[in-house]
Amino acid sequence: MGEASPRLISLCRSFARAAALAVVLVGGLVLLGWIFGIGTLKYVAPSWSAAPVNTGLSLVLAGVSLWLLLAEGAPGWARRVAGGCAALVALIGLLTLSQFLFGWELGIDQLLYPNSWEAAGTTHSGRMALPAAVNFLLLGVALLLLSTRQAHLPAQLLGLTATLISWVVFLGYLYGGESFPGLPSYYKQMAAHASVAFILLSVGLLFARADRGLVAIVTSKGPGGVLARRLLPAAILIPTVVAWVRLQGERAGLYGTEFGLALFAASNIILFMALIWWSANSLLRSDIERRRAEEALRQSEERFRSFAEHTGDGIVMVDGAGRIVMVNAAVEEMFGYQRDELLGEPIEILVPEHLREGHVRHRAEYSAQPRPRPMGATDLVARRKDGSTFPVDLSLTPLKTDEGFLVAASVRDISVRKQMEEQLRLTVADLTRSNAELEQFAYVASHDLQEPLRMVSNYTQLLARRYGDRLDGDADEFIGFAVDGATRMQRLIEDLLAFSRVGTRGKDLEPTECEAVLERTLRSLGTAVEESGAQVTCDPLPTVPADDVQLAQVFQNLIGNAIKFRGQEPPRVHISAQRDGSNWRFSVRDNGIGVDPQYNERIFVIFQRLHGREEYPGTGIGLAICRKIVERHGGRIWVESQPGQGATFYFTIPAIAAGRTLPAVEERLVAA
Amino acid sequence: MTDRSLGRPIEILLVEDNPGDVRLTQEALQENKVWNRLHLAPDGVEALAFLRREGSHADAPRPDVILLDLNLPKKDGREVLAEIKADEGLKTIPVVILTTSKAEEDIIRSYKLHANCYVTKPVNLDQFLRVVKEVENFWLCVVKLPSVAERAA
Repeated sequence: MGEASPRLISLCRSFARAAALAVVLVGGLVLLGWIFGIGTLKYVAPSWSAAPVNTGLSLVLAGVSLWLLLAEGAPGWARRVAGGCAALVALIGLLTLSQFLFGWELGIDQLLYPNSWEAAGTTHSGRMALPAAVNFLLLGVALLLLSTRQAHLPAQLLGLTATLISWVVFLGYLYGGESFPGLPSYYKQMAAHASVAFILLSVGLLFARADRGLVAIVTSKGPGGVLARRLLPAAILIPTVVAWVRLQGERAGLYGTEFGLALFAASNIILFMALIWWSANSLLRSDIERRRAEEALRQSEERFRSFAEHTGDGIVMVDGAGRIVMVNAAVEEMFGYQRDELLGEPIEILVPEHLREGHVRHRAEYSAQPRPRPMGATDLVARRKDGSTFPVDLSLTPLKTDEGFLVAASVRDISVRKQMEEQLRLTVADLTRSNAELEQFAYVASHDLQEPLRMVSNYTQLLARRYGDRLDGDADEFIGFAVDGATRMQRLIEDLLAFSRVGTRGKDLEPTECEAVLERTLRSLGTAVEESGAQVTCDPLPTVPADDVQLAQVFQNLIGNAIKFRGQEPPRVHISAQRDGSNWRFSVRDNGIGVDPQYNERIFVIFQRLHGREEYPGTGIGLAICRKIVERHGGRIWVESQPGQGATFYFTIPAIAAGRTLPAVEERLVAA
Repeated sequence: MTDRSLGRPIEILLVEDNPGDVRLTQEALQENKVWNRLHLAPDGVEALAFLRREGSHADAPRPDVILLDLNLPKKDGREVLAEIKADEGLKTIPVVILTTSKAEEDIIRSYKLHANCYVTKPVNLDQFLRVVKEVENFWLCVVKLPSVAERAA
């Protein structure tokens, strides 16, 4: 039996409730008819049978009983009253029936209204008809059974029998014929409105428990229910209507009894064939649709299953008790277990022994407040079958399924990543140490190296000053070399210091207006620019994240070089900037002597010079410092040039500050 | 040129461990016309002892100006500077830092410790001589300093 449709059940109950009310109404009207002598209420049409007092009374009782049984969550007393009413109805039916069967005269028919008989003037002593008595007995017992909340099937069988009896009587009225001509009329003449009330009552009784017994199929979901709901009303109505039509034709003299029957049979056959074909066809269509849906579901399931099985991450599903219910191939490979070694085992089998207790606690906390947890939140240690451990990253997804609460975990082996992180950490430590050493060196260079140098230089000069007149020309020259060497060495040391401080003494990168920086640079270059007759021009320059002091140093070195390495003509320098993707690309173009492309790299190396000191003074630090500054800003610097055709130096600065500092490598807690 | 207001030689305390620099300073001061007496302290401990007239320095005069190197044995120039400037009796004596260091942090730190000026020793002899002379002239002839009575108070 399929699942019942709640909508249909409530519809049936509504019908049953309405039927109970209608039955009480009919019974009440009959009683009113007797009390006030209103004929229409007693028999509807004068030629029809009247409904006796007992019928009216029993209908009221039966209607009340059905109503009470239908009430939602009826209290105990309501069910007991319903049972009492039902018993009374059954008793009236039984006693009336026994009067018919045994020819007794118990006086119950005149009990309530002694003169009812005369007023009716038609039937025997105000007694209800035999079918009515049978119906009351059947329905009374059926209602009694319902009130005990058991034996739904027998109750419905009794109700069905009553329905059939009432239907026959109703059809009798509909077709206007006389049945069983041998029997006296009082045996068979049930009142018309009573017969309708009986039909309502018995159908209401069937519908009162629509989810049980015989009626369950009618209210069930699925194809069986559809079929029942489609065919049952047709089975009742089609023959009824066809028979009535046939009768009308026969009465009109269109055909005789035999041909009428043939027409009746043929019409039934055709109508039912059509109905059955239509029903079967729609069942077939819905079946095809269902299969299609199933196939689509299967395919989608297959896709997801295949993905889960073959994805590179390990997938483990765990039930509420922490037992493994599913693993994929990656888990087998990662942990060295066969699948059936894991299924049904506690998840702790994959956790190192010393962390298992903590993991159980952790899991309990998670079950209490399950929420999705992404990768990267926690680093865990996992255990292979052979006991070795390895670091994993984990994401958790709580799932509510029909089987209950499940947790799906994606597991990723991060051994390699961990190794790389460790490597990186060591490298960072190395770099930090060597940076500190370099800074120490810079300090030593600035103080302790210069001290003896000053001694050499100062005392050589003192020597010259005091004893110059007693020395010859050679001595003057030698002293000149010594002083020059000491001075140069001091410049080298100072440059080296400046170079080493680009990284360690730089300021934070902040939005810097390049035009203002360039203006400042040109002011400080003032004399050099003037003396050389240089013409310096620039395009509009952007604002970039930079250390303004260092940026000025770059401009100063590049423009200074452009002036220093000038050709025959007065120097012309042009500065411009262009957006290039996420960077600004600056260029400093000159018309100087240019650079042979083979030295494009070398000129940026510290203390590398292409020219003799007599030709062009300098230590060869300028471009090295430029490169270090530009790289610190996250950009790069290069030159494009041909000898004798000027040079263009390019450097880039990211438009948005690039994080050049390495991310701090945290010591992550290994959590279980 | 003599200090007319004082009528006595100018007392200069040179705190310097490098004999070469000591000699150069002496050379420079000799060339100058100011009547001066140069006292020498080769380390920080000795310098403070001189200033506080401790031990063998019981008869030491109060210097008119102190020329202080930063990198010194035993107690370095920064500590000496801090102690002088924390001492009510000594803090009014001008202290000229005379050092090789051009490091920004040394300069800032010295001024934060209330150094009166900071001078880097030049590599070139002429410049060195000129610097020493100018320092002397500036602090001893140009600048007005508190009178002896006030200083002693």
